[in-house]
Amino acid sequence: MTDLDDKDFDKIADSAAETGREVQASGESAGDALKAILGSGSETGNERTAAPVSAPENVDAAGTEAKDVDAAGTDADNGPSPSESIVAAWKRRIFQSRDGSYGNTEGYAPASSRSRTSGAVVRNVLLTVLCIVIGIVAALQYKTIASRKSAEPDSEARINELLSTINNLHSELNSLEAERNELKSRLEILESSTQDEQLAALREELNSIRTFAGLTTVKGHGVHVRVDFSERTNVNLVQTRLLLLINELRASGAQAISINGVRILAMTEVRVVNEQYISVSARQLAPPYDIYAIGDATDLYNGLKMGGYGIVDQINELAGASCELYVQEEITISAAEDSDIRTDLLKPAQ
Amino acid sequence: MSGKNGGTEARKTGSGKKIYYAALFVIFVVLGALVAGKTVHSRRVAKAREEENQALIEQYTLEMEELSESVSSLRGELAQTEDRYTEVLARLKETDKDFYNVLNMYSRDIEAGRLLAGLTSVSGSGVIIKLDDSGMGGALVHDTYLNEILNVLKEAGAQAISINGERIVTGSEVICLGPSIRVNGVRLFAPYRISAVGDPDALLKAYQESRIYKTIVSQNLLYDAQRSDNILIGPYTGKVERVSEQ
Repeated sequence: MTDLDDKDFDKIADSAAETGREVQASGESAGDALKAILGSGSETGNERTAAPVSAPENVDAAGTEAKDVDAAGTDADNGPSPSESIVAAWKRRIFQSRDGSYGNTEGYAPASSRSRTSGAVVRNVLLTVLCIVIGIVAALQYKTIASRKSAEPDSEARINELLSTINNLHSELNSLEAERNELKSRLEILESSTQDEQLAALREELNSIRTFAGLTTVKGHGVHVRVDFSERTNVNLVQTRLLLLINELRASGAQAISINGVRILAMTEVRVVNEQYISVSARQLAPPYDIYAIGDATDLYNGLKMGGYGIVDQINELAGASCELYVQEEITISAAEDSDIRTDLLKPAQ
Repeated sequence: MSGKNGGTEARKTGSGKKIYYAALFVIFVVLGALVAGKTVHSRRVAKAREEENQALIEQYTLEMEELSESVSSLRGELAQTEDRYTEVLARLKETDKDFYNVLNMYSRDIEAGRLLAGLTSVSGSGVIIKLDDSGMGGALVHDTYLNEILNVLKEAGAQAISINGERIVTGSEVICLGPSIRVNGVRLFAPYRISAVGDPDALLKAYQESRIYKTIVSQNLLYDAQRSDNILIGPYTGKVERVSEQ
């Protein structure tokens, strides 16, 4: 389930890359269409050279035609749109061929005009065929783009899938290893120790786990931070600073933290209630806030001071706020209750 | 008149025609060469890319297979150890029932403690929130953003949270470390995926109404939040060396 969402996330990046590829591919298709034009261009050339042999007047016609194409070419270059210029070229062509037949009325008139008309028909047919060919080529090209489009992300999707599977396998391996080691050590104790030793080892294990969770009362060196606020202080800013302070204590290696006697656990929130006061672990707190943290006192102190602009200074900057930091030899932080940690929505997972 | 004019024009255009055809020929040759070159080039690029992808797939498949093997061999080992453990316990149950009961009680307490401490895998419904700063905006996902999100989720009653697989436990820090973010002493990189088990509706609503959500949206960060009925959150895998001077 988590891997799927990972993929969704990557899709945004993928689609961007895809558009790039499409643009490239359509460039290719245009190129192929041009190739087709190049090929058929020589075809029409052959038709033109064949025509004048039967009817000399056709040279005239072909000449005008070439001029027309030329005109169409310049039109295409300068005109408002290619379609308009093509229309203009055809109009001129029709007009000039009529003009030509008027100019050569003696003798040949009916035959030459007929051959000219048939030439035009051939051209029309050829043009139609050319267009159809171009259309087919373009369509084929699009088809290949489409198939390539579906083929390429396949390999990328596969890579993402593999990465997410690898990720899952890594975490599975980790948790299996932890489980195996624990069971092995328990088995070792069970098989080789006296009953008293066994009980002592189990007690120790239980104690360290409960201490890790914050469910035992602990004593040690550490720091005491006193934070005070007045009514002038924005309570939302107070909340964000308290979150920063707790995070900084954790980052500096605090092993137990309490605020006004309330133990900070993994899922403990710092909440602003009614834009007025702050509650921690659903208990309303009244300033001043006394925060205690057990750990390496020097690390904790330096972490909060952070070379002259740490969280202590940031709190002192707030209007109506103050923050004092003390190193303390002996600090006692009392245990949280089991009921402070809710697990009713958690199912054990293999 | 018009016929004569047509004749001279035909002659003129006759030479123009040749130049025109020659020009056209050159243009088409150049175009053709360009198109062919481009096609060959883009095919080569696509081919190289595909080859690269295939190589990656091969590499990852190999890695996956190796990992799968390790996992299954570890599973086997674990099952064996469990069997032996049960066997030893069964023997104990027969030889010394009282001591067996005491051991059993401790085992149960330890298991319960491990669940409370975040040392076991858990699953349930909840939300998955994703944040990425690899988009075009240039904005970064700061540690404060993640911290605020975590707090919002905790306020809404989240019972287990992980960021990119790192379980949030009592001592978990979320702090900037250069371009990455450190959680439980482990470096994590974007995209960040926050999984939280709890009441999905409450979690999602709280997140989408939070101040930090508005910030994230206004910063043009890539974000996404979805509810899920089957979220798996792994255990904390770091050290459990905590002073316990009582």
